[in-house]
Amino acid sequence: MNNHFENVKNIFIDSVEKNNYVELKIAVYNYQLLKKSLDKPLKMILLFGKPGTGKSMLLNKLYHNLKESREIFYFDAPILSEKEFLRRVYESLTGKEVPRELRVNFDGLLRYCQKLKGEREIVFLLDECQLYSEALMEKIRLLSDTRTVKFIITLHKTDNEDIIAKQHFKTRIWEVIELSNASEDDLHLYIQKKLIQKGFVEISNMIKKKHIKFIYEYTHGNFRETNKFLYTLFDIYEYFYESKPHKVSIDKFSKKFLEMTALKLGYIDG
Amino acid sequence: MDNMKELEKRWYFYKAKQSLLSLNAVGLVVMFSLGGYYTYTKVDVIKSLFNEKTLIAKAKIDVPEVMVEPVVLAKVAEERVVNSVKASKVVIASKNEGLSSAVLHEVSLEPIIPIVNMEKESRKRTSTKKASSHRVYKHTNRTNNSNRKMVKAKASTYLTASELSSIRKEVTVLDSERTKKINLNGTSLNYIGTIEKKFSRTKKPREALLLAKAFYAKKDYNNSVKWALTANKLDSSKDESWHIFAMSKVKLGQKSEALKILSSYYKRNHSPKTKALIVKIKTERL
Repeated sequence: MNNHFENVKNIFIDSVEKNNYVELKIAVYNYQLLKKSLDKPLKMILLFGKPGTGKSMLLNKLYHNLKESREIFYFDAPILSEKEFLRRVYESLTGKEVPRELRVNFDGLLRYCQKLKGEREIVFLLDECQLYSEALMEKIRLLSDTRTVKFIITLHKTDNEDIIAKQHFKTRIWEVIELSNASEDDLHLYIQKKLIQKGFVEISNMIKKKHIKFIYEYTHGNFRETNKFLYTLFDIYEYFYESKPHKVSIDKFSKKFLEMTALKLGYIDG
Repeated sequence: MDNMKELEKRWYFYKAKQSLLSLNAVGLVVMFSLGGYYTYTKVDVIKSLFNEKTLIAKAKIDVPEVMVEPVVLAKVAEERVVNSVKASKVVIASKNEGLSSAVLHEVSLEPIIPIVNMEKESRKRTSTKKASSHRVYKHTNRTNNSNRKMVKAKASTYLTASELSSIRKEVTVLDSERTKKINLNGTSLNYIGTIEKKFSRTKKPREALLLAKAFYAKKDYNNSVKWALTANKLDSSKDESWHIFAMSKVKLGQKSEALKILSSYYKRNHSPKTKALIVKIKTERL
C-alpha cells in the first residue's frame, strides 16, 4: 500500500474552494435560506457566525451556483481602500477597466446605479465585512438604497464584541442568517463526505463514532478547527507510515495518533 | 522528523501522567471504600466509646456530690459525739457557704471540740456506766481498732510473724501518740482562742454561739451568757443562742429568769426543743 496519507491530509487544508464544499443538512438549509433572501426585495443580507462556521464557504458556493444565472460578484478578500472598492464596484457594473490614474466618483457611481433601477439587479458578495470602515459601510448602504445593487455580507462573531450590535449594521441589515458550529453527527458526516469525495472510503470507514467524539471534544464542531485537526492527524499518520509502518494499522484508527494530534495542537498538556 | 519523535516522547509522558492520575483515583476510591467499610464495622465500638465518654462526663459531674459527702458523714459522726444542735449548725453552715474551706476547716475541728451534750451524757450514764464522757476519744479508739483489724487481715496473707509484731508495735505507738494529741488539744483554751480570733475576724453569730457552748462546757457560765447574748444579737432566730443563754442562767442560779426568757421565746417560735428545755428546767433535770 502506497503512502496515501499525504493526499488524505491535503483534503483538510483549509480553503474556500467550490469542490471542497460538503453538503450537510444545516449547510443546505442555510444555502436555501440565502437563496430565497436574494429573491426578496432586500438591500442587505448578513451572514453571521464565529470563524470557521462556513460563512465564506457558503458565500463561495452561492457565487459559483448563481454566477451563470444572475449578475453576481464575489469579493472574497476585504477591500479596505475606499478608492479601490469603488473602482471594483464600477468595473463589475460596467465591465470596463478604470485606468490606474483615475478614480471613481462616488456621486457619479450612485447616479449610475439609480439609472439602472428596474433594468438590472446586481448582487455583491462581500466577505469579512467587519474589517470595512464605517464610512465605506455608509457608502455601501447608499448604493444598496438605489435598489439596483444588493449586498450579501459576512461578519465574524467574536466573544468580545457583537459587531451586529453596532449602529451602522443594526439599522441597515434587513436579513440575518446566523451560522453555528456543526453537531457531532454533522461533523462525522462532514469528515466522511470529505474523505469519500476524494475516494478514501477505507479511511472513512476506519473513523468510528468514538473517534469523532474525541475530535469533537476539542474542535467543538468548528469546521476550520476540524480541518486543522485532521490535517495534523494524517500528517502524523504519514510520518509513521513511512518511518515506523509496524505502528500503523490500516483497519483501525489509532487513538495514540489522535492523542498526539491533540498534544501537538495544544488541546491537551503533555 | 525530529518534531514527530519529540511529539511521540511527549505522548509517552502524557500517558504515564494519565496512568498515575488513574492510579491515584483508584487508590482514593479504594481508600474511601475501605475507610467507609471500617467505619461501618466499627460503629458499635464508636458508640461504646461515646457512651464511656458520657459516663466519664457524668462521673465528673458527680464529683461535687462526693465532696459534700464528708460534711454529711461529719454530721452523722457529730450527732454521736456532740449534741444535735451542734450538728444542725454545721449543716446549715455548709448549705450557706457551699464547699468553702471554712466549712471543711470547721469539720476538721469537730473531733477535738470538747463539747459534751451533758443532757445526753447524764441520760446515758444512768442507762450504761460503760459510756465514755469523751466520745472523741472513743471514736479514735474505734478507728484504731479498725486499723488493727486491717493489719491482721494483711498479716494472714502477706506478712511474716516478725513483720507483723513490728507493725503492731508501730500501731500501738501511733495509737498512744494519737491519744496524747487528743488530750492536748482537748483543752478548750486553744479552741476558745481560735474561735475568738475567728469571731473577731468574721463577726458571725455562728462563732459567738460556738464560744457560748465552749464556755458553757467549761462551766464558765458568765462568759457563756455573754457569748449567747452576742450570738442572739447577731441572729435572734437561732434557738441555740436562747437555749445556751437560759441554761447558763439556770447554772448561775437564775432559774426564774431563764424560764421567763424561754417562755417568751417559745410563744414566738413554738419550737419543741425550747419546750423540752423549759420542761427540763422546771423538773430540774438540766
